[in-house]
Amino acid sequence: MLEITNLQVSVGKKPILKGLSLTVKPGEVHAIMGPNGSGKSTLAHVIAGRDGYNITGGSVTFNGKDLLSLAPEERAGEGVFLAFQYPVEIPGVNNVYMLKAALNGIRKYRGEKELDAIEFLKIVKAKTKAVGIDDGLLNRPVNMGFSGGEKKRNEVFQMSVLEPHLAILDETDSGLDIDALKAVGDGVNQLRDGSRSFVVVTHYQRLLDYIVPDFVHVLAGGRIVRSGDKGLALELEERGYDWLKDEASVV
Amino acid sequence: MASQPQDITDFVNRKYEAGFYTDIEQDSVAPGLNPGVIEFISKKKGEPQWMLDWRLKAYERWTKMAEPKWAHVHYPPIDLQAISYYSAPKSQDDRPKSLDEVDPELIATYEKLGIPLEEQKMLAGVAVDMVFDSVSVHTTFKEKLAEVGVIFCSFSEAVINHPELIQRYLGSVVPVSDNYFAALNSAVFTDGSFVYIPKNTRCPMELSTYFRINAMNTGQFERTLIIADSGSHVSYLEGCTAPMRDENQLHAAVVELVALDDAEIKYSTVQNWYPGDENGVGGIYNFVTKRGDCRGNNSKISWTQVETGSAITWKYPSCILKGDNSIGEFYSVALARNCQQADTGTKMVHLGRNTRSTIISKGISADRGQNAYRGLVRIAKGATNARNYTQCDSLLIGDRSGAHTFPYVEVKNSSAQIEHEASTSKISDDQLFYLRQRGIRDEDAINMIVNGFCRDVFKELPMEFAVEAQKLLSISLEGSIG
Amino acid sequence: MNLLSDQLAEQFQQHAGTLPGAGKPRVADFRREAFTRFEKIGMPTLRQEDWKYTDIRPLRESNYIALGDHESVASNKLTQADLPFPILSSHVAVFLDGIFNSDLSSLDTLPWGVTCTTIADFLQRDGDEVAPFLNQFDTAFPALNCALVEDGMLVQVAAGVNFNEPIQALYVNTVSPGARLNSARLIISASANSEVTIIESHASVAGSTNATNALTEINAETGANVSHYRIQIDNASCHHIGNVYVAVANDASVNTYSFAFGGAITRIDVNADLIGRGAHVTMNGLFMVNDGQHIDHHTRVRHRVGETTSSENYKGIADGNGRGVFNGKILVEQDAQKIEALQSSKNLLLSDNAEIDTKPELEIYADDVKCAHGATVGQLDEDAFFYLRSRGIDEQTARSILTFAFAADIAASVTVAPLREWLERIIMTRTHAAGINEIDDRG
Repeated sequence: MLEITNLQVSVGKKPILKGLSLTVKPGEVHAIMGPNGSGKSTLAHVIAGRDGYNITGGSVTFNGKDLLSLAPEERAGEGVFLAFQYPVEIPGVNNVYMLKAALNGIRKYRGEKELDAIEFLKIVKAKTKAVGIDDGLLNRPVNMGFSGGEKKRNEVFQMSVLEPHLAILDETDSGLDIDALKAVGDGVNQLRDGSRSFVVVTHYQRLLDYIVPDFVHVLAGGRIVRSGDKGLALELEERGYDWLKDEASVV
Repeated sequence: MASQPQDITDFVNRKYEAGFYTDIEQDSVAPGLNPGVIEFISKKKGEPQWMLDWRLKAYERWTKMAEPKWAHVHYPPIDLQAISYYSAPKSQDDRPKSLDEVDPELIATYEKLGIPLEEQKMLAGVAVDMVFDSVSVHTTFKEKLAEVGVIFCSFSEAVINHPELIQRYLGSVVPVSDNYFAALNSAVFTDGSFVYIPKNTRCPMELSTYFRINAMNTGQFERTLIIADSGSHVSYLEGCTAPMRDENQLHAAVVELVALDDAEIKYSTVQNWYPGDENGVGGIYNFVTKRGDCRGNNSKISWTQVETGSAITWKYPSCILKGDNSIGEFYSVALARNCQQADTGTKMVHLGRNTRSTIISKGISADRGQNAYRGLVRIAKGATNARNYTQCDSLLIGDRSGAHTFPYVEVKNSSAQIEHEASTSKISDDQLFYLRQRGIRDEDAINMIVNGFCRDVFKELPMEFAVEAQKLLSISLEGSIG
Repeated sequence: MNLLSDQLAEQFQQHAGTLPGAGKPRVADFRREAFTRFEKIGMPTLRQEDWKYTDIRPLRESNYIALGDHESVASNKLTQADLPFPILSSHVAVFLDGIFNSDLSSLDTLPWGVTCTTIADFLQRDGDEVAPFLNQFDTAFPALNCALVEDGMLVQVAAGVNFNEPIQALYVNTVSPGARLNSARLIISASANSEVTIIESHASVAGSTNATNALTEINAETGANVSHYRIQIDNASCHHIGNVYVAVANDASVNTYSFAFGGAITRIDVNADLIGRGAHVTMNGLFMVNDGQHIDHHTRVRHRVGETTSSENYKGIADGNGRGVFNGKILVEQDAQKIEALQSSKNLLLSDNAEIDTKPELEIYADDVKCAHGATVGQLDEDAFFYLRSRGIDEQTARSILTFAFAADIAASVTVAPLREWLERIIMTRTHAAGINEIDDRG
């Protein structure tokens, strides 16, 4: 599904990712862990098509398509969803209205019929219930005045409506208390259906208590320095990252 | 990345949607301005002597005034002697009694604009007083309004039929010598609208007027006067669009509003005069004086404007808050694209006690467009407990666009609370990326953000106008880069 | 009627031949051109947008001696104890009616790389060395200063020299037989990666009726760091005109503060040009006006190239029948992308006879910018006021405490401790916040 090969990315002249490879197959959950500044968020942004990164080498394909040559909205159309670490506030733009435009944008991209307001609201209603988001938030401007937890829950809600093939969760646990963490985890687990894949980017192990990964990768110094199963996450929790940094410099 | 939006040229090359030209025989005066021309206008309109005297006095003052230069706009000198100060559809002497009698070409003009009269008639509760060139040719819903005592007619009719109201209120808000363009208007105005809402009356419908400019070399000098008597309420809508043409045209309107005790006037404008082409050729020069006088206690005047047209906009709808507890509001969206220049804002003059004013201004500059907010908040010595809140935001689209803010705050009373905030930025890359990540095309994403940016103003517009305004803005921004 | 400019023309004719540098054609020509500019521009009037709120007729239509006649000053036997402003540094230059007084000054202990030269001495130098003096200006008072100035100080800091002790320039208006219009001059030239702090202070001895026309130029070269504190506390019969011009090169940073408490009519213009990438300017200010006072600050920040930042915070308090004016403009030139500029003007109006006029402006010709300004005029925060009173503090004291807190906020960021303490004392006196010391003492 997602095939990242020897990806090299720099910001300005500074190399951030120095040859990263990763394969995600349908239905898999991959956790990307690593110390601050290791390039975790860069990876998430590059997959989604954020401006400001220089791709200096390597490739990213998604279901065989060259993802790097697509606009962000085309990647969304292909089924890539990024849950932002810091969901953006957009004054004056109604949350549900935005979501309708998004869903119809994606459907149009796929050559599917656009939904009318009634069909769309039916979906929204069902998902609202499933994700357990306060419907008061739905008609507010996008993320405006939302608490940290509400913003993250809104991301999961949008994910559930847009039904991506691959969801990237960028530090979704940051700034969340334990209840919000659990709610977000539940929301994500509902979306696990055996074919949808997840890349969970996180600094801490705790989110992985709720979203149990099939694979754990440690990103350090711009490369994946170690891969394993969920046991690796627990090991990191115990030992920290420093012992791996040494490995990174050796690699 | 691969995804950068492209088509600035599409956006620039976009045709003005309301651009067409209607050929109607004109009954016009030769270009030039002198007392003789003013007498011609007055005579043509069958005005009483006092009206002519008033015009001549204004002309006298005007000859001693100089064109203002302080606005942040640049344009070649306007030759006022090259303008014809009167043109009217020829059928003037034989006014249509019903829609059937209206010049079919005129009807067709409106149909092209998507506002056919037949449809307008059916629009619930909206009376249309159309001004084609300078003379009002059609008024609807007059009878229904007359039932409750509301007077809504052309200015010329009011001069003949309601001289006592005109003599009492004309020039009482905008004196003839107020400014160069207002003085010019006072001397040569040809027509406009007049509204009187009697005491304790709520006007049963939204009043609306569509303006347009059609004839070559025709200056437009509209005059509007709205009086809301004690305890009354009225909402007035003004919309304009103009056929495409190559020569610049001057538009110098004057609008006067008077709100007596406990009265409320809501005045909404969507302005879409021809903005000129992408090289700045043509387009309307819009020099407008709009002022509302909250003369009575507890009165309220609210201006809402969406300015997307004109090559040059020079316009400061203002409120004089004379009555105690009176309220003034100004909500504005101004868009300047291509070579458009807008210098617009408001004055809130607090004279009475416990007066409040709110100013929300949203400026959008695209391409080489230059947008300036110019505002004055003045708290007089006797204006105890005055409050003002001003928010003035600018959005920039394109590295040759400009956004400028010139707010004046003058406070002479220590109990005043004045707050002014302004910000200028381009469309946020973060917002754009967020929406695109969700699957929304870049152009739609820009539109969404811009409309969100303007939301606080659009929500002040009556529903049908709000829809029109959003559409207008989207059309105007099509193909622009983020 | 433009009495003063006529007198000045006469005096300039008469004294041009004996001004410092008169023997050098380059300087003499420069002065003549400056005076011609001044005459061409003319004294400002209310009709000019930039002078809309400040009427200088009392200055424009009075008699002043601007040049010569310094014998009266020399006989003015002031000691350090008589000075109307405290000495806040061990490096201090005192100017009496614009002329350097070596007895009252001490500039002997400056380290290597930091030099203070009087303008009178400086203009004796040869050739290109006088170049830092030879900038012409397009507004009336700076042009006039260029033509007439007889003395002042040039501070030069060599590349890489970080000097942490402040240098103080104290300009004093004395009691002279006839009212004088004194030209005060300060030039600060900070070479690459140097660091310097300057206190520019203006005050007048009791009974003085002199006026000041001050001009300050600050040039911060690549990576330099300049802090400039300007304080004006003239007495109520003195008019004060001040102009500050700041040029900031790449990665350099200038903090320029203006504290204005005194004078009858005071007008201070602070102009900063950000001319290199990474340049930053902080412009802060505080003015307090009371009966018979008018203080007008005009600030201009010009972002001339991209990746420059500015931050501006001005506060004003108007009491009695005083009038305070603030006009701040942020200008972003075309193609100057990636700009961040912030400006704030907050004002308190304490009396119904007082007036505040504020005009924060933005003029922006580039699109990748984040610019914001805010302005408020009002009274003290009612919630805070109530809070203090509910704790048992009487109304007057509560008012004083909050007024002090409002103003002291600007002083709090002054890094020179003796100056900060002096400012706090002045603000305390002016806000009648006498009780605050006790509160501080208690803990």
